[in-house]
Amino acid sequence: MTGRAAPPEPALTFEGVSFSYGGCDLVLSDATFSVPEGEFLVVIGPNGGGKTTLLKLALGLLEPLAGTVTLFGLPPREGGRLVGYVPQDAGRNRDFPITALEVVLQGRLGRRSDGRGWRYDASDRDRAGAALALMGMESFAHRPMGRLSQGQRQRVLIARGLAPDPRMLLLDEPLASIDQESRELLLSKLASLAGEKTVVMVSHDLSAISGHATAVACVDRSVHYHDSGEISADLLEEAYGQCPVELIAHGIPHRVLAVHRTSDHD
Amino acid sequence: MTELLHFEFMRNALLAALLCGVLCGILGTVVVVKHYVILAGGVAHAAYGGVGLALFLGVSPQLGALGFALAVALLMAWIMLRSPARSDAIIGVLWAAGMAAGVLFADLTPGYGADFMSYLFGSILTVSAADLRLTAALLGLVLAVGVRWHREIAAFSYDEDFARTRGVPVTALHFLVVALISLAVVLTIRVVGLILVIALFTIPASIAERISSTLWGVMASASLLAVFFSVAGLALAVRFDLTAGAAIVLVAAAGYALSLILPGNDR
Repeated sequence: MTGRAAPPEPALTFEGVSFSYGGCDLVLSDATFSVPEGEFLVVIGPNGGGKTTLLKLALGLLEPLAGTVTLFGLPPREGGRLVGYVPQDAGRNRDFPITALEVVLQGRLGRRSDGRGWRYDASDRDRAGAALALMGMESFAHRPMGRLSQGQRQRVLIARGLAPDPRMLLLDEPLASIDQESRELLLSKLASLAGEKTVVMVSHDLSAISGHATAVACVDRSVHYHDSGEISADLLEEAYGQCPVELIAHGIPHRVLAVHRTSDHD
Repeated sequence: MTELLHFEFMRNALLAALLCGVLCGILGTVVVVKHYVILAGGVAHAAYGGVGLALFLGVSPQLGALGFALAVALLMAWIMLRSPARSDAIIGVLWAAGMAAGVLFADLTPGYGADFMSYLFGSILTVSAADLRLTAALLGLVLAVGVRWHREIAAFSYDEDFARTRGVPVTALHFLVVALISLAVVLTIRVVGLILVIALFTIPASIAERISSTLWGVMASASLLAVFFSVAGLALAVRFDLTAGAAIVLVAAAGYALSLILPGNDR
């Protein structure tokens, strides 16, 4: 790492990236885009379109079939430590005996200064507490995860992503199945982080685009990247053409519904 | 009944209950939270193949069981990584194949019926000092690994993908944990037998999950419960001249039923 003085590397780049699970159809085909630092990128697209795959490739959890991924100019396995990952909360692990604070502390693992330690130290606890406080969850620190609501669990997972003080936050569907009020709160919190940090968020919720996003990537096997200048009628037109999703967003001067071809319903 | 403690076999049996109880409490918690139950059951039954092979070749059945179980467990661990969607079916195959191999080796090795039976149903009253030393050594290793890497083990147990992004060696931990579980399963077979061993790896941890809300709290409570069930079952077995393994498992099952009725950490 050469620090901030060097010419700024993009936070995330994909170059000609393709991927398939077990040699079947390509989930992602020749994806090429670059996310500058400080961007608030919202990734949209149909189910099975490759959004989660894209995040996992960015994190180095999956290896591309072809092409290269970089995080701050580094391969994902090295750059991954500069990133906070917020996986989708599928409620899969709800019964796991663990408190909110312990979950957030896991975000403190794997820092470079952490080579020999075997315990979380005071600064780890401070950072974890601060991350919980940032998400408004400090009073739930010692509550078991299984006794939190879905929205509260989601906020704990975001706090865990923030705990390492990452330069970029990668979130997978953080707005799924939480109530409207928490959604607004969460979005404005994420938006306030963007700028200082790069935020990449997979979302079905297009209200995320209108108020807060500075870029939008539409993923449906291929990736169409639109930066801030395009978030407008142009984007919607392109999304209309290439992304088979319904687009209804406030704050954008058009309201567009993608037409579902009749063959989709057969 | 305390006068029985003058006998070495009785002291050994109590020590075995204590050591295996703590092992089962700690590793059973991992088995339950990581959904490794079928793996633990598969290892226990496949280990019988190792017992048979060892007796057939005329070497120590305990070493045969440990080596065979370790090899089968590492194979299962590898399958779980390679094809997670089908791993339970493949473990089922190894489970039965290992057991069947043990049965055939028993056919080919007449005169060792008692040895084979002691693995099937346990024989806590014939635990040797060597078995105890081996169990104590494994418990020491488990505690050392657990203390040194408790953060990594918690992260790996809770969310493998996230742990990987933080540089936790998830694959290595997976193999390490499975190896420790397989050795603990074989050593606990001495206490309750391979058919019933799964009870000591699941019941105490399942009850403890309702009492405690941290992984370490569950491990500690599960250890205490497993020791209590083992000692209580052993006492009942001696008092009423019953099979110790079955008495221990039934005491544990009764404890489990009781825990479902009593109000717990409702999650």
